[in-house]
Amino acid sequence: MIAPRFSVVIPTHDRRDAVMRLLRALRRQDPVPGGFEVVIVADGCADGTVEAVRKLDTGFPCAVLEQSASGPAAARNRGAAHATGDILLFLDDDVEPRPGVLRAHAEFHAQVADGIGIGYLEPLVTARGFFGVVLRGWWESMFEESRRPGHRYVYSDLLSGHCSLERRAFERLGGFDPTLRSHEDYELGYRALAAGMNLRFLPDATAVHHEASELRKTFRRKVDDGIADVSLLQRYPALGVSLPLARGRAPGLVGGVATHLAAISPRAGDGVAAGARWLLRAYERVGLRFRWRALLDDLLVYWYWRGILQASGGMDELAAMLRKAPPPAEPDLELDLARGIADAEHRLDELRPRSVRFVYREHPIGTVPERDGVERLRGIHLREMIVRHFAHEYLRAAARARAIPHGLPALPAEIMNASATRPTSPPHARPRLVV
Amino acid sequence: MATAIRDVELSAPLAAIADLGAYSRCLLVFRWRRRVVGRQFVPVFSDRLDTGAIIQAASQCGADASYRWLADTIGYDERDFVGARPLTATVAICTRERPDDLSRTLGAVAPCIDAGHQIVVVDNAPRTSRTREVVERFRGVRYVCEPTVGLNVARNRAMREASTDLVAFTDDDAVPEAEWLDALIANFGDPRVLCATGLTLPIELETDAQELFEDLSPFGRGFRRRIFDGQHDNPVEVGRVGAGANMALRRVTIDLVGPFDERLDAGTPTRSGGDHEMFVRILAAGYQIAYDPAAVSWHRHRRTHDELRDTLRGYGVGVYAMFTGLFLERRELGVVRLAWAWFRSAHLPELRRWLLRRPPTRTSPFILAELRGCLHGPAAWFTSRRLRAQR
Repeated sequence: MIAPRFSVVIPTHDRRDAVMRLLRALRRQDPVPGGFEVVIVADGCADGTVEAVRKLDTGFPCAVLEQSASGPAAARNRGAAHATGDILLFLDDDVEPRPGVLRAHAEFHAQVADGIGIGYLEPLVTARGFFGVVLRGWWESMFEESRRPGHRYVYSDLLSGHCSLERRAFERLGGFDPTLRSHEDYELGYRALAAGMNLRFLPDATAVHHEASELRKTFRRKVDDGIADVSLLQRYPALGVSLPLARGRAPGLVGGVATHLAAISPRAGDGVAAGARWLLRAYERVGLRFRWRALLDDLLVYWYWRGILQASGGMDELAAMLRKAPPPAEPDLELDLARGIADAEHRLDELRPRSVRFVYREHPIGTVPERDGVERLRGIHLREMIVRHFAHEYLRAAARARAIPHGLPALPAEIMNASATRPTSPPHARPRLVV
Repeated sequence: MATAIRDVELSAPLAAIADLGAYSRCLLVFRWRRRVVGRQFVPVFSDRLDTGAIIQAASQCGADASYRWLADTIGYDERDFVGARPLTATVAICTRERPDDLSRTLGAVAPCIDAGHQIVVVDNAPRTSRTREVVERFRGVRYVCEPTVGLNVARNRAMREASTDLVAFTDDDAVPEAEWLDALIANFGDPRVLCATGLTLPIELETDAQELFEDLSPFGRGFRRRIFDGQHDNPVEVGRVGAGANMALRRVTIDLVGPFDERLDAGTPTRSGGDHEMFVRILAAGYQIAYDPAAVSWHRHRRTHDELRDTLRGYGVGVYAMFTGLFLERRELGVVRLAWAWFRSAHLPELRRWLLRRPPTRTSPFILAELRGCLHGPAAWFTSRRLRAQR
């Protein structure tokens, strides 16, 4: 038998109906050269998923593997080991791919060597009220940066719910880390970027994501995120500054009280946080949107830190881990933007540096420091970087080099004297009433 | 005396502006390679403005002009998104017995048809056939008669009649620029954006009433693009978002957040507010609205004091009617604070002046008319709701 081009690997745990929906959606896929097979890994399923899938006439090769509950990372590895296709497409069981998904991934891999295609998960949220709005916003915001043409990919752009890569590359990387209960995709993204692989967002590979999370599940996931981030930090100390835990967002009043109590008795802290859910409900009932949002953020921070402290053993231990991060190296490249954007883009594509210093003739603009877990610089990143990080510096340097055209009014003081750059979109000023 | 309105293209050599003898002021609209980057009123002392005065006025828009220059120089457009596919649009003009204005608007938007877009004119509860006759003079423009009176009824009809991705609305007394539609469409690369609004400028300031309107209620919302995001921004503060005279919506908006509220806006007792109420629902559902000053439309303000007084009173009625509906039906408590803030900043000083019998200013009668409208707003909402239920 000739091996198919694609192997679609689907880990699942007690979601029979969702898997059926996913298989029916795969039946409606546009044809791809070489075809595809499906490998379902039933991870501790007790709801009849295996029997239901075996009974279904799918119209494509479909294997069902069973294992005791070991988590999605182990399930994906197991499915990948069984797969025979050149390209692995990982899909979560709660997604429903639109007909062009396989075609979009196939076209991507035909064009980009060593690529990891990240598909779009279009959120279809079942939660109602304020939480439904926020949940959809979270999902959409995951793709916000990837949609920008000049986006510089980071390890956390890899989403295992919908991504594809060559089977050989997956094997070379060693697969997902089965010890992680969360962020196992970020961890794989880190190793993939370090190995020089090319992450890309594929907007035409759209799968509807039936997101059924509710608040309690979201809090539980935050604890797992905290634990996973500590694990990432232990493995890759240089990643420290990029992790949310290093940014040190302090909890608000309720979260603060809960955190202090948790230091004495975790159960007491959790009790306060659980009790605060009543307050959330009350805020929503009377329509206090912003108070509700602030309290939700507060609780999310609390549960995330609960995970961090649980995994790290305490703040002192965490600080010690963060101190292990090596200082960033000096930029290995200087680019004179006065020579034109095309020239600078060409140099970046040619040299693929980790960091760069920009100047305008002899006038400094700024430095893009070395960061861990981020792809090396490409030419396409340049314009986005200038506008978002160096707009004022570029204008100042161009003005000093007398490169700004005569007709343009003089740069105002807010630009000439600014110590830091603001993006071209104005900061969200306190809204004024204009009716 | 009246105000002249003149374009100044900063990327070309500046020249003095002549023939201003009939005007006491000049509104300079500054552009960098066609894109509007600022505006400034300057007094006119002779019949011309020399380049020195123009340069001095232009210094006010230094930041916005330099951002435009930067984006142009490096070839950057913040509206670009990976994989954004070309979108089709229908230009919808909801009108009622204004054939002359409509003819001018149609003349401005007609070239869209050659670019593959569509135009539909919704004739709202017509008394004569004059609108139909105007439409028949323009090739490819669709005429739709909507017998039920109400601007929001007409807007909903336009949304239902359209088969394109987007529906762009312009008033029948506005003249959009050639780039208007493309500029609005460019904002929909991000799937979270359900609506885009543009920059509206006065097409003439020939009468005192028009100058007053521009002072009291300018349509312009600045010269930088801005995203209003329902995830972060207060959904009830939509006055700064834009207006229905210059906006485009995804057609699926009515499936996602519901149709325009037919109890609001012109043709009903509430008289206005229908566009803003839609903005509130878009933001409250967590979606985004893009304000993009690249989408320029020129609006003819009301020419007489009576018309102006009536318009402002209508705004007052519409806004407070909208507040009433949002408070009672959607539990948007934020409208209480907003209503108070508006009253305190705009109406209270005028009310105090009137109570203390101080001499009125030039704008006093109009602000008081608006306040009277506000006071009537809640009652208008209930009346409108009753009438809608009877329909």
